[in-house]
Amino acid sequence: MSSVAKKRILKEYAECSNDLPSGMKVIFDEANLTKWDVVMEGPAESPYAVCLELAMCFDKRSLMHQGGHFKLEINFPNDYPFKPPVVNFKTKVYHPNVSNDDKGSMCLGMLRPEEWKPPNKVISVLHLIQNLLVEPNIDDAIETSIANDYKTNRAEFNKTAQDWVKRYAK
Amino acid sequence: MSRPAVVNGFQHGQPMQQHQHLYGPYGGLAGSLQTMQTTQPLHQSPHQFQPLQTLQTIPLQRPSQQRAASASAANTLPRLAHHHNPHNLNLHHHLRQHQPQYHHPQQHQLHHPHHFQSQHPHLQQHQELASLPQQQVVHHPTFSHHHPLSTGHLRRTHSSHAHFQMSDHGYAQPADDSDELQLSNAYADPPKPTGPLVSERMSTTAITAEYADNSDPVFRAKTAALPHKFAYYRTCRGDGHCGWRAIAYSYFESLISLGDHTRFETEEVRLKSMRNLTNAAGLDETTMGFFADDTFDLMAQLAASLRAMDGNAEDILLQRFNEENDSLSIITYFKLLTSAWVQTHPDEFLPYTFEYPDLKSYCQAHLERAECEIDHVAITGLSQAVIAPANLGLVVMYLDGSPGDEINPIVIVESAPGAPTITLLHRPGHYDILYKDASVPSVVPQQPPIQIHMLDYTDDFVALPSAAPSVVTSVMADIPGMLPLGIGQQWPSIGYDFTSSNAQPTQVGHMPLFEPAPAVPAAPAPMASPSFEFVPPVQAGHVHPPSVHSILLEPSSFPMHQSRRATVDHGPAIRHSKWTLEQPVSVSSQLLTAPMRDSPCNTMHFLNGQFQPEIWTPEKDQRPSGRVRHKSTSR
Repeated sequence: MSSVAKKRILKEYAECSNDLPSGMKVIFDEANLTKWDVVMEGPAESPYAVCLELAMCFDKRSLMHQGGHFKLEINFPNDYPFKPPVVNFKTKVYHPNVSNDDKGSMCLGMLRPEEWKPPNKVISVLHLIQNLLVEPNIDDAIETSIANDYKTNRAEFNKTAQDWVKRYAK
Repeated sequence: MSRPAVVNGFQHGQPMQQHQHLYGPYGGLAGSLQTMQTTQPLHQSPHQFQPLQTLQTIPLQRPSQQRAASASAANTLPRLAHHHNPHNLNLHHHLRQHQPQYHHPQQHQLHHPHHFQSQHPHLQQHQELASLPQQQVVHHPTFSHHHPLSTGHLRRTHSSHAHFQMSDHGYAQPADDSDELQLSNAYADPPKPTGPLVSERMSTTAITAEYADNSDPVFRAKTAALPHKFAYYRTCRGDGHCGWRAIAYSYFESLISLGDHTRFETEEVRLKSMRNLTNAAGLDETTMGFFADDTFDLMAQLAASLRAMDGNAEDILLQRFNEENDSLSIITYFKLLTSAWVQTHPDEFLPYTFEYPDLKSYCQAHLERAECEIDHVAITGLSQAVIAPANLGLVVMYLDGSPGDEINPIVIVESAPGAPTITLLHRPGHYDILYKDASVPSVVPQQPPIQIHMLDYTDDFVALPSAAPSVVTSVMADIPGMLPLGIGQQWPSIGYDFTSSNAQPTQVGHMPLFEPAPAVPAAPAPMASPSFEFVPPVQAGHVHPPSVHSILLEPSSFPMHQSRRATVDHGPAIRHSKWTLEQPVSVSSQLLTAPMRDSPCNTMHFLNGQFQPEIWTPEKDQRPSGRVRHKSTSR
């Protein structure tokens, strides 16, 4: 990894710590800059948040904090920022844009190599991920059956997503 | 030179069958391809795939844009007075997505099927072309060949491209068409381009040789004429950044050639002052900073080298540009500056951003992305933002199949007299850097004798390492115009026995590759258009040519050798007193000039008080004979 890339990743980490999307946490190892572990709570307005018992959650705040915890891994390639970072969901998630396998890979929009712009920042990647949990990008789905579920049978989709959260994302 | 028609027919026959196979479902396309192939040599087809009919019909679908574009074409883009040509350049830039390696002339037939497939993105460019004033179309003589194709075929290929592009990145595979699936898979994992990011300077005769087997006489003629105008070239790796890299590299190189370290400082200040543009374009300053830092870091390094006159500037540049991240960082900086420039000059560029709602989205897609090749908007923007204000010129030599004996120059930025001009060689999908021989930063190119650098330190020519002959041969191959024109025989200083005999096979091997050159320039120096040349006067003194081309031009009399032999190896030529008798006596005679020899001060003169007759020794006999040999050869 070039010194430029290291410098940039460090700088981006500093920026992230100021401006992290709510419910996100970056675990950063100085010894290995190229791999970030991210823990993200399912956004409250998505099916990925766990609502324990509605009666107990009167205010929205406490409800948000009950969200499922998703572990993500962001890997920076050696030629970052000229190639996009690679995002993987380490926690299984029922989502049209996350591959339903052991990789949990995510490759859409700005994360695509041919769409990636060197000035892009990880922070915008994190925002993208959070937004996708709230609103999946159906046109760019990697799991077509889940996308179909989302399109045609939203209730079923929400239910499965919730089940998975309870099962995997505690 | 020209191959028999039968041979051509045979060569073209094979890919044709392939087409029929590949395009089975699209019989119409295959049919039209056949028509084209019978009228056209194969390799031309990619650039000539813009049928006249398309050009006329498509504007009807976009009347508003056509209006906008033709209005603007009339009153904007003064530099795009040549913009039909940048458009043409652009026609091919999508090709590269599918062809990471620029298309090698000999690979034409191999890649041919894909050319047709990768045509489709050009549909958009057809529209661009179409909305430009008509004379541009007329200007392109090759368009007359396109009649066999109808718009219908293009549309069809366009739709098939949708499949193709997606599968290219592994997101979707066309499920309905197994032939196409095969093709897509072949492209899913394109061979990774190799080679140096920016190469050493090489002789353009290599390009001539590359096209020597080309079935099209136009390409042969044009590339054969190339070494007369441009002696050297540098390749850039065909990784999709070649155009950007070629311009960026040449920008720095041209600044170096001026030999003035303050130019880098003024350029840095100027580029930094474009901050208001990048801010206006919404480019984040801190991220810009990463790429800018690398660029200014290089500039500072180069300026320091020029200030120290250590002659390393060129080497530093080449080395930095061959480090991928450095090189990409600088390219990205230039791309972002271009994007900012384009976004802040909507009057000029808005007409060219079809399909995009605004300039910003266009720039993000075509200028800011990590993987985007340079297109006509990019070249225009970059030259306006960076090249022209630096008082540099930019010319693109466009090698295409249009009739003519020489490669068409496209002047993007006219340079002021005496100012350096960046010259690029553009082959569809690829850019290289061209050099006039006058721009080679070595000394006085008119002087014919050539001294190989390594020989400079060898006192005795007999004791040459065995590798030397091949070195010399390769150097000879690099001498502009030497092999094709047979000037080699006239160049005396390579008359060491082994060179002529060893170089001969190379010459013979290359000979048939060239068109008979009727007008053989005696010296490589005289050029048709002096405005293109940049002679680096200050540079000349302290820059060494790159190692591969370590040619040291020296005057024919070899003063270095003689003086070195006299002073270093054999002690003082004149014996001042008898106490220095231990010095080998023998040497003096051969080193004395005629007046000295005849003067009574010479101990060998009979009137000299310390008269000492010349004594013959066997060793001595060899040395003068060596000297005599190159005296005679250098005449």
